[in-house]
Amino acid sequence: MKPLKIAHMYPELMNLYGDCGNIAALVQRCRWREIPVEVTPVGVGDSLADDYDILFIGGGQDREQLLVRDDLMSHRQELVEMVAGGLVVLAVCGGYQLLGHEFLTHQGDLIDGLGLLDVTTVGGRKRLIGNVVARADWLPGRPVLIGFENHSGRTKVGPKAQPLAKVESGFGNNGSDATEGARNGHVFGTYLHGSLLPKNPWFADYLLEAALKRRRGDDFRLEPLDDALEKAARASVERRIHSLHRRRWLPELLKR
Amino acid sequence: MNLKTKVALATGYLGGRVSRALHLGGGTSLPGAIALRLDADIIGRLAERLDRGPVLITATNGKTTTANMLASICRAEQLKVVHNAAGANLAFGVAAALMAGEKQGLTADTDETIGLFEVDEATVKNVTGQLKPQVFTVGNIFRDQLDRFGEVDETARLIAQGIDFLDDRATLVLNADDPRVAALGREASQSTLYFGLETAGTGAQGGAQDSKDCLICGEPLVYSERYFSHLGKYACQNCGFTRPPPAVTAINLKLSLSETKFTLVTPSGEAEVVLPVPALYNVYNALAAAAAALASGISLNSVVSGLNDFTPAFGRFETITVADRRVRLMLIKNPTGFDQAIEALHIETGPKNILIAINDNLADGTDVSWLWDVGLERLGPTGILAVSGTRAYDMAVRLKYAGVAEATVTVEPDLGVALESALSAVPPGSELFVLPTYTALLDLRRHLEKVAGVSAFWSAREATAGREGGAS
Repeated sequence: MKPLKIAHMYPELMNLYGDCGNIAALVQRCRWREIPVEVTPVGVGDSLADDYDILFIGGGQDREQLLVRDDLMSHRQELVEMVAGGLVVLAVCGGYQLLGHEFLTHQGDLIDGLGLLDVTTVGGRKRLIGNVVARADWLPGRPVLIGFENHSGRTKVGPKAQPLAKVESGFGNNGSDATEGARNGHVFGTYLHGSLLPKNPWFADYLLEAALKRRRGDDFRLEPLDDALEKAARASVERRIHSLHRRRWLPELLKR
Repeated sequence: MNLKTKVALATGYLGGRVSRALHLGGGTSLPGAIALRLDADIIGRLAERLDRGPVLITATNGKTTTANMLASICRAEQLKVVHNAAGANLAFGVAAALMAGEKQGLTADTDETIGLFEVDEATVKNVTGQLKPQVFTVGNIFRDQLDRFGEVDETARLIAQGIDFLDDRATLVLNADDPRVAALGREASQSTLYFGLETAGTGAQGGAQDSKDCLICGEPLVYSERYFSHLGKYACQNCGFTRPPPAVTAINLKLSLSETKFTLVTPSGEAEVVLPVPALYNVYNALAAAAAALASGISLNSVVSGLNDFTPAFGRFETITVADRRVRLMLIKNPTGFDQAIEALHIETGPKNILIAINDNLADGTDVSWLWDVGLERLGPTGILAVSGTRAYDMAVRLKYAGVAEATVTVEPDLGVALESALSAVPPGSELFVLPTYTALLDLRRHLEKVAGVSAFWSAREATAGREGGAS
């Protein structure tokens, strides 16, 4: 069987908050099901011409984002075609911003994006930092995404994309409209680190299943795995968030 | 000293006494917090009384160890030391340490007194102007508590802002092997003293590497030697930014779990050092301390005996014996520290008993994403493997995805329970390696104190301060 092919974009430059954990989750969850899988690191100047199934791009600092921007833009047409052919894309934080139309940093640099997602980002002064709980209410069972956000960009989702999830706790895209991330077909962007996929195994499986359906037909279903440990981790984070909220009101009151 | 400063001092001391009497803590920061409120210039007023001047030490990793090595060197030189020992490294802690020194009469005019201040990276810019350090030491800039500073570049920028406050006569002591640190010396008007390693790379590389591109032009840096993470011998082929030749170096390294031998090479000559702690990162800490000492006019003899006599700081490879079992505490604060702890476990072969304790309180960093930047795939053979802390389950998930069989890992979020069951599972005569984040370390230390009679955190610190006061 031909292995599932994952392109890991700029692993050296765009890996700020343990984003490589997302690759670990995709790979291990294939291996545990004995699905052959292959990861290719794609650096600046490397070719993208391969039949990739999943493309991942993580977060980077503003400086690194400027460095990869030109390279990413040189692949623009190719990427548009690959996405039309069913490529599954996951982009986190800085990578998410680059998938959008543009990103105006708080230093005033305008970074053009790929335009694969109808989102635009403007840098803010205060960073939005903390644990996030957000609900993907467009999916059956309305599953919850848990992660940690740390970004200065404020992202707005335009009419040609939908939010990935509705924020229940945290800031999300911009701290004002209770949306988190964006999606359009099989292209997903999010601010959530954590790492995202090990902490949200259902989303890892959603991406894998979407990619494998293209090869094996719409009826393809992944076998379930034992996710007891991941579930325990999610439950402990949710409890932690609630206890932090309870403890926060007193210092907040004293600040006034 | 004017009346305002005197009132601030008296009120601060009183606050410390009340805090101690009420068992609210050792008062290592509170007296400073009170005094700074009453006299905003108190750090400057007290620091100018240090006749051998203040030395400032900052880094993301190893500040406390470097400062303690330097304190040991200063004691060997028969200097009296004012020192914010064991981690009170914000402005309050610096002020409190100066106040404690003042109270003990260390700053009286005729004494040979030096000030050693480890300072938090974000606080450097707030205290440098007042402290006026004659030696400004930067050990390294790794990923650390990114939830607080945002980005690694921001950490470097905050330290550079501190350098802007420095007097032109000061000396910058910089790690040549860390491109981000070495770059700080390029445009500085002060004189620079670089330290670094002159030995073949260790071959081992941790997961996270933060400075991969030239900070001047953005092209990839080429490494001819890489010691760990982004530390090594690098050069930019494009703009010519290159590792400055270090004046203080270590050669002939011999590593073991109990000690590290090397030849210290300095402008004042060469000498053999037997450092009583393991791991390459401690060689960097020793080089930083040695270079800062030499820049402060301390003799090479004192540098060597100070390093040889060094006692590890609280939780930094500290060994505590409990019921015939040796507990080795290895504080892990960020990916590089964790990677280095894992490397240290590989210095000697055989399975290790390990307890990893991950908390996500403010002092630890509230984001645990960094666990995914750690090369846990390199953990090696284990006996007991337990995880604990507020984020025990996150750590367990990390181990699962690193390929560690789920059944071999014990998860117990309660630190006391986890420590006791790990200790009872470890056979007598063997070792338990405990890798905690900062607040987990404090908590575990309290439990160890109960079972082994280890002195409390702040009283241990008081004992250190007392010893320094005696200048024995």
